Amino acid sequence: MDKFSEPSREFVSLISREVDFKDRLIGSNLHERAGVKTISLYSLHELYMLLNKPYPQIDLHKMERWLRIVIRDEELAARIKTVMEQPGSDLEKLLHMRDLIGLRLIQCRAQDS
Amino acid sequence: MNGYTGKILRINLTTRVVSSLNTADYEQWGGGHGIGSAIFWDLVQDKTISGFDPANVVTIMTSPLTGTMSVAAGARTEIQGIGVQSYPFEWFTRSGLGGRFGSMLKFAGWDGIAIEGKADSPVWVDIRDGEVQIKDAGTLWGLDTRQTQENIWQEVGGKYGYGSWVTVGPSEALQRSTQRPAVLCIGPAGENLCRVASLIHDAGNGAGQGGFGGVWGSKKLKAVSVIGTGNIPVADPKALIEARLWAIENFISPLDEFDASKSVFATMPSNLRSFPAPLVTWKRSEQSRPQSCTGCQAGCRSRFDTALGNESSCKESYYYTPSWLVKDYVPSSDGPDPQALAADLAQKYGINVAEPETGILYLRDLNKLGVLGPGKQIDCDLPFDKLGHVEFIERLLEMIAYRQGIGDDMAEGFYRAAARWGRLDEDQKTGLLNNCYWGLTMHYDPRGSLEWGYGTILGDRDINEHGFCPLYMIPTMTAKNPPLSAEDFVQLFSERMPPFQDDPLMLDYSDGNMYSEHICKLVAWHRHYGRFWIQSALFCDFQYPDFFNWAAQGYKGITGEGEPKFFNAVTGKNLSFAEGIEIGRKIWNLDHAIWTLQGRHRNDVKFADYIYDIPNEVKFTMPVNNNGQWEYAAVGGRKVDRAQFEEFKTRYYELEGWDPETGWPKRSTLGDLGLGNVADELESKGRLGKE
Repeated sequence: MDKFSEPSREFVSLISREVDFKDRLIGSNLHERAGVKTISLYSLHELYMLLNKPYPQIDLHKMERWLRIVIRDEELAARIKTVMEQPGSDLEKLLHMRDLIGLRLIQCRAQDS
Repeated sequence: MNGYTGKILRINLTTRVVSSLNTADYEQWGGGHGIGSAIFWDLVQDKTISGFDPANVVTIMTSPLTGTMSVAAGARTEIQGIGVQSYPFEWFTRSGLGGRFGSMLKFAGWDGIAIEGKADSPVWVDIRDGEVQIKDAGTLWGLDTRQTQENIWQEVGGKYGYGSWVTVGPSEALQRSTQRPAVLCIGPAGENLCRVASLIHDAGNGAGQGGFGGVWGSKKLKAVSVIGTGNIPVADPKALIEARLWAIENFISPLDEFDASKSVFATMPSNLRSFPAPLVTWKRSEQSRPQSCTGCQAGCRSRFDTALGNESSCKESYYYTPSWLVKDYVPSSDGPDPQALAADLAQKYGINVAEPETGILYLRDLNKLGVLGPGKQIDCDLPFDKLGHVEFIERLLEMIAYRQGIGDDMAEGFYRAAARWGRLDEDQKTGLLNNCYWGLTMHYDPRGSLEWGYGTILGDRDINEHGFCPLYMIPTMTAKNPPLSAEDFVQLFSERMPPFQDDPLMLDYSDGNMYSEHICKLVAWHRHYGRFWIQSALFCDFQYPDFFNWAAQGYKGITGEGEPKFFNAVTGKNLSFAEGIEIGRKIWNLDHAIWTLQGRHRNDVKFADYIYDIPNEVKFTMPVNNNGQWEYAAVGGRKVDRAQFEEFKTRYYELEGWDPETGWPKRSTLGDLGLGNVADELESKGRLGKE
């Protein structure tokens, strides 16, 4: 998987922040017995946690827009958009997107340390 | 009366008179819920009272199968009465629990208990075979559910430890047991009249829905303890054992396929449990073992070396999930696992976890919104910086159980709390408060899971019956390689849904079919099947109906053949699967008549606004019928249309033989079911439907 361009410390701080209530993203997880569990996502990290659940569900277009406009990570949003346009099920795409977001978070952590 | 003990204990807490009812007078209802509803009908003259009214009657019923070796049907106990959780009506409702309370009650010689009145001071009930005493509970009041049970065990067992012989009656030779009494009790939440309070038995068996813990608290009833030394007459013991062996051989995977590292969620997105597999979502330690309810092959509960979260399963195990809430969450190897501790605390306080499950997310959103927190409009000291950790859940549950601060609001349930906080209208419009029917928390979404959502709003509570979840969970979770074609998959279900078995379109959840007469049949079948086979015969709702089964030949589960096989072996009757469903229709009609007397009109039967106004974003892969061809497709991303749902209700009422104008039962329908007396009562109250 191609690396992202090296983020500055300021940029890491920007995309790692928790957003306000009005800027939250809504995601859900399917569970055999629990049913549908819907949760507000307030950070890139929380989105990553959701995508690590067995059957995450999220509107891909809203997620791409959220990454681009709210989180303000245009590079990540562009990579997500590329995945969206590839063939495959939403779940397969979400797994690919999870890995991309995970990669970005690793970069952030490295920059933080 | 094979399978039954013949008598039902009747306890009046006001007069402290103990008497009995003859089970034979109620045998036509089968057991469990059917008998409970009939007793409630007979004993509660004014059905419009509050659940907290002393005249409310709480029934605790078993079935003929309780205490027998029937597969996944030997342990359930059905609780009924007017609940205090739903809104705007406190519906006559139900809850249930597993464990060993029901079987011990049968061994003591009782098919059930009807509790009426209100004690003038705290009491507990001590049942030792046929001897029943109402005792002072002054020293128990204030204790949590574990302490309460331990105290009662000591009082009943005396100096003897667990596993020693305890004599429970005058005949030392015949009336002795090595068992502890089975105790059903309330914790502090019940004592403090919380509408979200549960009844708890042993470490982790709870009857949560309805707020019956609060109802018991209002009756000053702390606990019911029972120890029995008798047995249960079985009509054909050989047939019963053969049925059990048949079920295990044909529907249950070999034990050597059991993988202790996996939970049942990871292995079996279907119903009948194939092997002992825990229903917990936290990481189980090496020092743990499966734990079963009486007679059950599944072992879906666990016991741990730490004892933390013992017997908790399913919802209790994930309502407080740190990995959702804590940045960089790593399970601690030092302190207690917050998830297990949360389960344990809810059991000790006696709190229904369905409320905090969605309530915690609601609190978090209100905190982010800036209206709830220290010094905020909704002022509280909840430590949001510790959300996901032990400190937050400890504080939250303490606040609810003891009604501290805004805990006094949350003890009323989050729906009523939102009303107190002035947020109800707004948060029901946006869906921020995810309580979509009767003020209760969402479990499955009515915009997608039609049988679940419609069944709930046409009833009294979250149905919590997972029979059709495999219809959408199996294809969703096996999207790339479903085990069967869509047509064969549908047939696996529909062919065992009498009397509607010839209409597979009732399993088409697509947008164009979601208000049709076909879906009416699905909802009706589910309600009727559930009322008899699940809630009256008391087959475990976690395992039945078993349409799709990974272990069975052709994936064809036990349902249809298994239920009557066990029922008839025990009772000696010749009840068919379809006849059981017809009894379920009768019970459903009686319940509906009670709700009608409580005030229900068809105009009350509606979801929260957000269900109609905001599309859900979740999509299931499921079978749909496209111009006569079955195929798998993504279904979801939709809302319920108000006008079309009203049309659905009209079709549904017509199918049930109820008045579509009001939704009230009609004399002709009730008369055909042998419920003429119910029609008389409705007519006298001016609530009988027009013919």
